[in-house]
Amino acid sequence: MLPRRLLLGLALTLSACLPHARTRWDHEAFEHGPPVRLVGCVELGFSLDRETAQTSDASLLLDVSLHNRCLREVDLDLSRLRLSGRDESGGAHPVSLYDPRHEIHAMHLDSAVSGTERIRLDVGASLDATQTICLDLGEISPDAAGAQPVCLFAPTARALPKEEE
Amino acid sequence: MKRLSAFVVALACLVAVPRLAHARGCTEVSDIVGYEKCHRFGDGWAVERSVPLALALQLPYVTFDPSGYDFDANRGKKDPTLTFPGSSLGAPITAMGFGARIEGFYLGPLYTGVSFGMGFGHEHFAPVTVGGSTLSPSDELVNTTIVWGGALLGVRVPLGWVSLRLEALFGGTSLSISQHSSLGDFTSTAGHGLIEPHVFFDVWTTPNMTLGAYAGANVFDTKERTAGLVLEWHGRAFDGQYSFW
Repeated sequence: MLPRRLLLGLALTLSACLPHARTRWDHEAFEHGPPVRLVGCVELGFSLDRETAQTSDASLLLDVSLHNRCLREVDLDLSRLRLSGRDESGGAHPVSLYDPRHEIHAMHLDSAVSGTERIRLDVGASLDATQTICLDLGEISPDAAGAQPVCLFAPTARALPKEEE
Repeated sequence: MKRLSAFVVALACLVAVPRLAHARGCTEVSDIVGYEKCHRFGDGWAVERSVPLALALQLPYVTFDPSGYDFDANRGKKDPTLTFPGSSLGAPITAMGFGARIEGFYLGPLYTGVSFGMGFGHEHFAPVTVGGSTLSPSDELVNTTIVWGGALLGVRVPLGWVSLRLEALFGGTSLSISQHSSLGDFTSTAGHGLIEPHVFFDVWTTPNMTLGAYAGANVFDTKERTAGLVLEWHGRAFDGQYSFW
């Protein structure tokens, strides 16, 4: 009985994980491959989310994962991320990091440390038209020159569940 | 035993107070930069946001050499104090216990801090005759208590996953012993200043945690020795430097 239950539990766990994994790693959602880059010592991972609030000023959220592979501090300046948005017709428009408290500036990533940040993007009025967001990493650290850009498809607004009449 | 209870209560407060403060102080409202109430960009990964402090728990073995110091023996607060020379107790008295250290690494490999602790033991020291009474060692489980504390000044030599430290403790130590006599129970106490150089060896078990061992002796009386194990959490990975090469 026990192995069968164990298998059932494992299958349920895997099936619960599957939709999430698909959403995250569906290769159609990214240009230039998965949104992970190694910049010198620093592993960077990016993903885009959309604010859940269904308001007119809802925007996109950029999730950044950081990990320092080295046993020394590393310079990192996420304020020098250059972002641009593109709509269906290929037209580009500027996108910036929302930083009302001016917190995002050059810092030192501690040795062997990992971290995450969730940053709101200022996409402007063209949020619904924005199809992709591209990140140019070339200036975020002295080792980043020549780093391949990361392009992410912007998630579309989720439909609100209809209220029962 | 009163001192032991007081120390345990103090330790419980040390553990509980930060949790209470956090519970009352700040409730996070968002995980988005700019909207966060309790955190700032860089918390958890940026050197600029870390505090170069280290907090440690010690398991020390300590020795107190009673010779050369006068002990004050008290039975009650109103009773007169009896005095006897520590040399009559015989050999140095030892104890094991626990302690704490707080260090700040603000100047590269140099650090300063404080260290304090208590040791407990059961010793069969010699009976002492004073004021016509003979004070014999108490049969209590703990009949000797050594308390110490002071300021630390040291240097850490980073050698990769291990590090060597040379430091000195500038402070004081005191010994309390429990004795009994036909007049009742006595507590005898003596204390003195201390300059205690230590040799310290650390192994980094994670970038922010070390397991260390140390040994040292009082420069004024090398019969007073100490050694111990230390588990230490460091606010900055490798205290800011993994190795000096």
